[in-house]
Amino acid sequence: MKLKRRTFLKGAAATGALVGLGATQTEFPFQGLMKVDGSDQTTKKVFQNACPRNCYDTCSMLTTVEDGVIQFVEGNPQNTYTNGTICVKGNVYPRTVYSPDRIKYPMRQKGRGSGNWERISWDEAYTEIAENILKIKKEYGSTLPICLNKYSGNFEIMHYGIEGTMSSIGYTTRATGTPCWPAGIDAQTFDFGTILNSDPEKMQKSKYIILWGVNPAWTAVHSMNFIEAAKANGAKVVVIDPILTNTAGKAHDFIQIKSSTDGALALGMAKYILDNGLFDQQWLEKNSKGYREFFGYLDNNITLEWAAEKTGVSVDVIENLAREYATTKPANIWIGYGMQRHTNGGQNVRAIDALAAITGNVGLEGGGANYAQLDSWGFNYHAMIHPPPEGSEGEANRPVNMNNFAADVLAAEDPPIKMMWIAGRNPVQQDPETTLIKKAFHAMDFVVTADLFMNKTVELSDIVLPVTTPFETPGVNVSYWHYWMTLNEQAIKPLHESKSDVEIAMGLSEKMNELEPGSCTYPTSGDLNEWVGKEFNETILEQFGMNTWEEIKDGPVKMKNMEVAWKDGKFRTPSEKYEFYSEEAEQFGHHPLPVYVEEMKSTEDHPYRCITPHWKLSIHSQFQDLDWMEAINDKPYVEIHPELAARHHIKADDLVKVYNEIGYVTVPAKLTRTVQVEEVVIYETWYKNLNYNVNYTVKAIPADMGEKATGMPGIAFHDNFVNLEKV
Amino acid sequence: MGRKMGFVVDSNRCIGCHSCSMACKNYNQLNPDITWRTVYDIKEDTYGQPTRITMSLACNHCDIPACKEACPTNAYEKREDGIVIHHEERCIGCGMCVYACPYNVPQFDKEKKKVGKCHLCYERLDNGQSPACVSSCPTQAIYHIDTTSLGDEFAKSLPGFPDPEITKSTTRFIKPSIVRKL
Amino acid sequence: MHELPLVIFTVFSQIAVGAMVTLWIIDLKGGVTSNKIGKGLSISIFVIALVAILSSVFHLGQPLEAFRALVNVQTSWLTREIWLFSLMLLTMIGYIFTWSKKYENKRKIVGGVSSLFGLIAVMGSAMIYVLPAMPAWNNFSPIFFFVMTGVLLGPLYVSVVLYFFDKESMNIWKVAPLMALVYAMSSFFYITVLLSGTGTLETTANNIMSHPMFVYRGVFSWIIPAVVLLPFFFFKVKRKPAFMLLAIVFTIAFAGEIIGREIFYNTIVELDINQVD
Repeated sequence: MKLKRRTFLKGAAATGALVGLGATQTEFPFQGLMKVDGSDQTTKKVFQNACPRNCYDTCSMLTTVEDGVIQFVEGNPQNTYTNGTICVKGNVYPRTVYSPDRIKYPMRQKGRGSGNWERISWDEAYTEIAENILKIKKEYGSTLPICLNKYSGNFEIMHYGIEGTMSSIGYTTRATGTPCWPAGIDAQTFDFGTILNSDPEKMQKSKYIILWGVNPAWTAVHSMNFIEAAKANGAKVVVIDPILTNTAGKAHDFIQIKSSTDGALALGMAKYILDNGLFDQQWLEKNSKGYREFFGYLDNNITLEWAAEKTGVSVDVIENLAREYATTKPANIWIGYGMQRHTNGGQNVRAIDALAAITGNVGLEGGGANYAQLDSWGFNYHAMIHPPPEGSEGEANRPVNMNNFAADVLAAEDPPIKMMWIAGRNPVQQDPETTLIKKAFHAMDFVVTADLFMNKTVELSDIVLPVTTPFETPGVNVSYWHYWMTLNEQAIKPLHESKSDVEIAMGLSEKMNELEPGSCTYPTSGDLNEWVGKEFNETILEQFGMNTWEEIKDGPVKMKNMEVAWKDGKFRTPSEKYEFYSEEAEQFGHHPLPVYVEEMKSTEDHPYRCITPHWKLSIHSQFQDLDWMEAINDKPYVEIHPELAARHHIKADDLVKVYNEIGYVTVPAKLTRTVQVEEVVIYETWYKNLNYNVNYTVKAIPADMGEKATGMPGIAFHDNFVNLEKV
Repeated sequence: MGRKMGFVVDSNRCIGCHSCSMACKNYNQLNPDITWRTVYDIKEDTYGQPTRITMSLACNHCDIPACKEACPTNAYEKREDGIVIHHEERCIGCGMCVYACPYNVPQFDKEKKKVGKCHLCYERLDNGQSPACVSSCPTQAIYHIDTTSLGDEFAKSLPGFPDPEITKSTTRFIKPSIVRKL
Repeated sequence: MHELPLVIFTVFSQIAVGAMVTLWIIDLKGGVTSNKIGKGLSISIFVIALVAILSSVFHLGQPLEAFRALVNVQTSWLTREIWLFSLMLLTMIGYIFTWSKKYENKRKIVGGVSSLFGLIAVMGSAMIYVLPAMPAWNNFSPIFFFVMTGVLLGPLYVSVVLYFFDKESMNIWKVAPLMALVYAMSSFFYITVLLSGTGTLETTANNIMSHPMFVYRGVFSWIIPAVVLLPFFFFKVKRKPAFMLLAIVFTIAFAGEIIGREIFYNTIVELDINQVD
């Protein structure tokens, strides 16, 4: 009879005796030495965490910690959107935490970009930073020569303490704006008054889903579950995209559209809907402003033939799509961020919004023109908001355009920018016009970067500060897509000498006040867990149905009454109606109606559009650098249609130089018929062992919108035109 | 007849997100270059219309496991429920199973100098949990089941999968439906 | 995978078995003139086989635990191979013993048993590679090629040693050029068959032919033994190749086999996902 292995192990562990148990003496040598599993002696605890990365899904996670070491990170099933699962990036977290590549202690680089780093103490780091700040303040009379560039590396609420660090030393220069999504935000702000999407879990109620320029199979995996559920309930799924993505692979129908012409398709559809009387007159009368003007524009300016010509989609297909969309209710459109990264991106979003409005899908369960939401973000921002020290020179922070960062930094005068503080960003890898970005860095007197890994931006810094992962510091997270709030508990002690951004702010404040009393208003101590509580206010507690903030410790909670956006018909526009005709749009220099604005076109020298979408194994420069990720994929590629490849005598895996007037990137070719002939696709990310950066070719061309809601227009990332050359 | 515990791979629901592959690494704390579950692209023109579809594969927990047959140390065990387990403590790293498996499942770990492979998280199953890959799939495209109970609607192979008859693979597939390009 | 220990193991063990069988046959025909030579020769063969086995251990991730490989006689060809080579070595100890005590009849029986174990062991070690997962190996070819290494190098080795001690010994070297021809023709045939296949078979054949060392393998193992030794068949006066010449041919052919085995391991294409015949 055989003893069960587990039972045997327990016995072995308890007694420490290995020989002679379970197996007969002769069998034993051939079975090998039994592993002593000391699991009975370890302490095991499960913590709540949240993924703070710049992603739709903002997962609720559970972290199993044994004897202070993370063993497993998994999804928290209490959150019904992320539904107990996390994506490939979330699953790599144990390696993020324990990666040998982590920056372990503060370091000083002798010679920016030299790689000649020396370890310093936190005290030395604080001293050097504080002295530089005070020196600048003395020399220029204000702290405006200090520029903060912080954004989406970590959206956990306490991480706004980074902005707090700067506020507490005086008025500074701030990289302002958001590269990702502002054109769409403005578009929806003109139409609806703000961005507000229905609870994405309600997508399963939809009977017709259009995924427009969005690839959730790679970038919002949990939403695919609700799309699959809708399919199971009989819904039809249509994907409109320049690329036949993995999401398109799951759809019923795929419409391959010429990039940046989405507005033309939407307007063509609207024209068909108008001509065939498929619009919802009642809804329009009651809820909208300016629909007659819009219909007039359609009547006078739009034909289906024109739309077909523009988009490369045939009249039949447009008609069919318009009829199906207008007659199948509820019909949901998910507007992706990719499709608004164009010089006409905002206008295209407005045209799509209009489709949802004229068909009465706005305010309908399972309907809508869903883009994003920020309604669940009403925290106190206690870690962020600190007054400037008394007697600070100036009146306000000075904005520079995050989306034209290098040029703006170099052009800043009176005072010029002399010092940069970078946190939660990697501009040298991820900003457009890398060459110019490097120039801006080299023009600085002093650069401080706080980061987890030795990335391209850290390489151009003077001081690097090691920061914590989400598992090493407490906080609280919400999403810009779903409506869940998740507490982020500290699961383990910070590794090495890493500190959270708030701790860094406290330490720096102490040093500054030591060197010059009163020079920094940031608190020098505080319990971070208590600070999490200070982020809550009455309104947000009520929104989430909590009596006290501590209730979040029992698990993720969902904001109430967000199932259907705009159900109440109270739009946040000046007219409180859906505005086809927006005077605000006009004030910002746009046509008041959702009209078609010509897309950017290729040139003779640079005949191909180069799209640089998000990559499935990374969020920008996060995650793909880890060796666990490299085991899945360790090299980039450019996707080229075989016809285009043949034109340039390029075969599969040949090295291809993708270039334009500002730079080039060299990548192996992947031939695929899932991209269009005149467009190539390179996925943006960072490989730690490769000198690979798509942004050498990407220009900082502004998108049409973004200024109203985010302060700066977005970037037309996908209006990048290149030529190809076999290396 | 004994049970044949194996995976169902629903390529109709698989979105190619690689969560399963990394969840496996995350749970089993595998060395960096080892992957016990891999998401493969099905060749884009397999079904005529070029598309992007995927299949997620790990050990096929075969009825006639070639790994087990080739192993000189009896490091492999076929459990009564059909799961093929590799007992690392008996492994001497000879690599015979690496040669013998038609699906390239056992992998030689250069650091441990031993082989390892998917064991269907049997210790989780024994605790009433799902395997890490199964419980991590956002679209429920993989699950574990006694495959003797499955009918003909489940395919034994997909294009690109080696002949399942060699070792009597217990993995079953649901075919992808193919998008219509307009 | 780097397979140098396996290259050394297979080639050395096949030389040893080839030599053992050769010695046994010569001895049966009374071709060994002195027991001292016979004993020395059999000890050298034993040493070659021992080197082979020791080398094989270094192929393992855990060399010190090699003993554990003895347990799966039911299905593992690796287990069987180890047992068979061990039996050959064991019986060879007896064989060496019979040379010294001049037990002529027992020697012939023990030698026969040892040769038989060796022969089966070589085939057994080839069976390890006869796998459905390796379509280019999943046929008679590994057995054939492993035996050919023994047939080419074994007799050549024995004749080199015998010539060193006894210029008048039998013309066993004549086996080598003939076998080189057979070997070359069958290899040509094998690659042709692979090329007419698809998928992994064709890729394997292309890998073999495009291997940078393939030409050396052909010249060393096949062309040189044939071209150098065949003319001696046609000399009117009964001439034999000189000792040095035989020794050089043996060394070159040995190098050819080492290269050939390296190619064998490095060019195989296995079945894999999206890599199907």
